[in-house]
Amino acid sequence: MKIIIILIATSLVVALTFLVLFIRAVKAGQFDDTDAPARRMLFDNKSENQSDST
Amino acid sequence: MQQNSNQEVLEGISISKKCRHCNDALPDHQDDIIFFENETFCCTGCKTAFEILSANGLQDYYKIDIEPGLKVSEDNEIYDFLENEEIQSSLLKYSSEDFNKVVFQVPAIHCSSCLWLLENLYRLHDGVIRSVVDFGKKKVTIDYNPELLSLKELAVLLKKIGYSPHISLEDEQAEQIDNESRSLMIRIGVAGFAFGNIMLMSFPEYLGLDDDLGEFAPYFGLVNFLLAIPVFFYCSTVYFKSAWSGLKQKYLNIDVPVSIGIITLFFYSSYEVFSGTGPGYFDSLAGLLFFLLTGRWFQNRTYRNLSFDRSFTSYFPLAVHRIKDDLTREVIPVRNLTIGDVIQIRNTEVIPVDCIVKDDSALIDYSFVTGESRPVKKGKGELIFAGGKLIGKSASFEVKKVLSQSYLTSLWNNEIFNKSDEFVADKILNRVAKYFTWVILFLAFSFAIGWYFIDPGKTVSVFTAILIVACPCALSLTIPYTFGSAQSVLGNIGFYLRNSDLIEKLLKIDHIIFDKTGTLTTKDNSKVNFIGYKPLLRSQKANIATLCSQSVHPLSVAISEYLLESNTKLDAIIDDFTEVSGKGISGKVDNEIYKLGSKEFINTEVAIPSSSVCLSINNEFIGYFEIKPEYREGIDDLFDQLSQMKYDLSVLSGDNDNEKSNLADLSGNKAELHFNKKPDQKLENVIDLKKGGEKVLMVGDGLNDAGALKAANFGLAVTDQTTSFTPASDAIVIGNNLSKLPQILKFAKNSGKVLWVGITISLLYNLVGLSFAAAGMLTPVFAAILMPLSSITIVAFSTLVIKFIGKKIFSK
Repeated sequence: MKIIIILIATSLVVALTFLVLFIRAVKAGQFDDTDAPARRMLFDNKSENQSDST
Repeated sequence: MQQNSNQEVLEGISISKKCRHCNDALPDHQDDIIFFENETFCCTGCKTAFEILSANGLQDYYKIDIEPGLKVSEDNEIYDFLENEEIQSSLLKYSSEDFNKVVFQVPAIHCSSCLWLLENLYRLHDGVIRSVVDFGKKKVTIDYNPELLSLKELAVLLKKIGYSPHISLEDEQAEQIDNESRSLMIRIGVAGFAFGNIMLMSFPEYLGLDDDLGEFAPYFGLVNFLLAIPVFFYCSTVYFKSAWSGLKQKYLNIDVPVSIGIITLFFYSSYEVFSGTGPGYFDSLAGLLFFLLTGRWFQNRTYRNLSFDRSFTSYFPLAVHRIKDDLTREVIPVRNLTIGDVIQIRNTEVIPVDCIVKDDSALIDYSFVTGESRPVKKGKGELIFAGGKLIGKSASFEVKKVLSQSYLTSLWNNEIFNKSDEFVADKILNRVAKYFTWVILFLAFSFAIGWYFIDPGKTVSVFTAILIVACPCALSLTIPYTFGSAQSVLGNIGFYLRNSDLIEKLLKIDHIIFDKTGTLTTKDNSKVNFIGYKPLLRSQKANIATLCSQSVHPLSVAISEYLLESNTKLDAIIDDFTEVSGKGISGKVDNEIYKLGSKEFINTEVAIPSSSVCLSINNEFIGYFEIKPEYREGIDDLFDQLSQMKYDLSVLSGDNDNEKSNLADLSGNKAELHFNKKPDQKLENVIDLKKGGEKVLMVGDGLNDAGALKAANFGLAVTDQTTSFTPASDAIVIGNNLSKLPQILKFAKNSGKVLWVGITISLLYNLVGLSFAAAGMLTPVFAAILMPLSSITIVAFSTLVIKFIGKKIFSK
C-alpha cells in the first residue's frame, strides 16, 4: 500500500507544477489576446527574401 | 455617378477600375487618377502608402489577406499636438533617453495583413524597435527610440500607411478589466485543480473501497482538506464579498444562499474529516466553485474593442492650435486653454470650448450636439458652444469659457450621469433569491427540529445537509448561460450589449423613442448624387464645395458635404459671389464661372427631377445634383412591426419640422412626432414617461441624446462604425441593423422565457436534493453526483435552446 502514497504525492506534485505554470502564463498576459497569435503563426518568415525577387 | 469603362488601355498602362492600395473605385475623371509603377491609385495618400511599402519590401501586405488597404488621407497636421510634452508624457507608458513605449488604439486593424504590417514596422523606420498588436482590442504597443523618431513622426508614419492611431486619454479602465479577467481565470484554474484532485482522492470512497485503505484512510481526508483551503479562502471570496455588500444594503441577492452553502460545506466537511466521522463534501465544494466561476467567466466576456462608457471628452480633440501674440501658432492641450486665448480651428475639426468668432463668418455643424441637421452660419463676435464642427474654411475663435465650464460639460454634470443604477435589486434572479433564502432557512430549521424529536443525533447533519444541497449553484448558472449565449447571438448580428444581464431590461420595454438625425436617417442626413454629361475633376469638386459652403441653404450644405473629401482644401478664392434667394448661387473660382440653382437660374431646357440642383460652368450646363433625404433601409417596416408588437412609439428630434410629413408617412402615423427638442428637453421627456410608469427604450446617436439614453430604462446607441464616438449606452447597434430591432426584442422576450424554464429545472433539482437531505439520506457521493449533473443540465439546456431560437428568429 505504501506505493500508493508515493504515487499520490507524485501526481499531486505534477498537478501543482502545471497549476503554477498556468498561473504564470495568465499573469504574463498569454490569455489576454487570443486572436493575434492565431494569425501570427501563419506568417512566413522567409517573406523578406521572396519579396526581393518580385 | 458615371463610371469609366471597366478596363481600358492608356499609354500602354492597363488601368483596372480600382485603386491598387485601397480597392476603392478610381476618381470619376481620368485626369485625377494617379499612376505609379504601372499601378493606378485614387489619391496621393494611397500612392504614398504603396510607395513606402514597396520601397521596404513589404508588398506581401497585399497578399496575406484579401483587400487589406484602407484609403489614406493626406492631412498630416492632425498629429501636431503630439509635440506637446504634457500630452506626450501622459501617453507614454515608459520613457527614457533612447527607449520609449507607447500604446496606440488603431481602429483600422481588421485583418491578418494589418497585423503583419504593424508588427513589421521596424522595417519601415530604424527608430522602431518592436511593435506588438493586440488584435481583440485593436491596439498596437510600440517600442521606439526617441532619438531617431519622435512620437509625432511615429503617428504620422502609421497614418501614412493607413493606420491612423486614435488618441485619447481614457485608457486606464481597460487595464482594470484585464486584471479582473486575469484574476478570474486564475481562480478557475485553482478551483479546477482542486476539483480534479479531490475527486481522485475520493474515488476509493465512491467505489466503496475505503475500508481497504486501512491506516492511510485519514490521510486522504487530510489531503482533501489541504486542497480545499485555497478554494475556500481564495476562489470563494468573490461570492462572500458580493453577498456581504448585498446584506449591507439590506437585501438578499443570489450570492447569499450560495455563500451559506459554501461556508456550511467547508466547515461541516472539515469537522467530519478531523473528527473521523466521515469523508466530508470537499469534492462538491470544489466542483461547485469551478462551475460557478466558469459561469461568471462566460458572463463577463465583453466586447473589448467597444467602449460603452465614453464621456463627451473623447469626442473632443486633445489639443488645439493657439495663435500667439506674435501670430505664430503653437499646440496647446485643450484643458490648458484660458479665457481670451485665440485658437484656430480647421475644416471638420470640433470646437472644444465655448468661444466667440474672430473672423468674418464661420459655418458650424451642430448635428451631433443638438440634432439640428442644418449647419448654422455665425458672424463675427457671435458666441459658439463647444461641440460644433467647423465646416469649410478654417477660422479663428476667442475662448470665452474654459473646458470645465462649457455648456456641454455642464449638461454632462446633470445628476442623471452620476446616479447609480437601481436595476440590481429588480433583477429576476435576485427576486427569486429573496424567497429562496427564506424558504431554505425555514425548511432547514423545521426539519432539524423535527429530527431532534425522532433521532437527536441526526439533527446537525440534516440541518447542514439541507443548507449544502440547497446551495443554488444551478440556479445562479441560469442567468450567465442563458443571457451570455443570447449576448453572443446578438453580437453576431451587430447588436452589442454592454453586459449580458441587460437583456432583462430589454424584456420589459413598452415605449420606444427614436432620435431622427443619425438614427432614423444616416449620418449625412441626405443622399446626393451627381448626374452629368461628364465627370467632375477633383479641383472642380473642391471649387463647387467652397462655393456652396458660402451659403447656408440646406441644399448647398448637402452638396458641399457630399463633395468634401477629408483631404479637400477649401482655400480657393471666390470672386463675385452672389446668392439669389430661392434661385441659386454663383461665383468665379479659378477663372471659371460656377452657377448652381434652379433650371431657370441656369437657363437650361433639360428635364430634371424635382429637388435637384443644376450646375453650369462658364455658362455651359454640366449636369445636376439629385438630393434626397436619406432614411435607413427598412424604417417603414420597423415602425410597422413594432406597432404590431404593441409598443408605443415616438420620435424626438432636435431638428426642425421640415421632415414632419415625410416621417409621418414613413411611420404610418403610428408614432408621435416631436421636433425642435433640446438635449435637456429630451431628457425630461424620458423622465416624464418613466414617471408615468412606462419602460422606455431610447434609440439615439449623438451627444444630444446622451442624457436621454442614460435616463431611459435601456439606452441604445446607433453608429455606422464601431470605432466612432458613441455616447454612453447599454448597447450599441450598427446602423444597418437597426431595422432588425423587432426581431431583437422578440429574441429578448424568448430568452426571458428560456430563463424561467432554466430556473424551474434548477429548482426541481434542488427539490430532489432537499427531499433526500430532509430524509437524512444525503451521502457525499450523492451530493457529488447531483451538483455537477444539475449544473451541466442547465449549461447545456440554456446555451442550446438560445442558439436554436436565435437561428430561427434571425435566419429569416
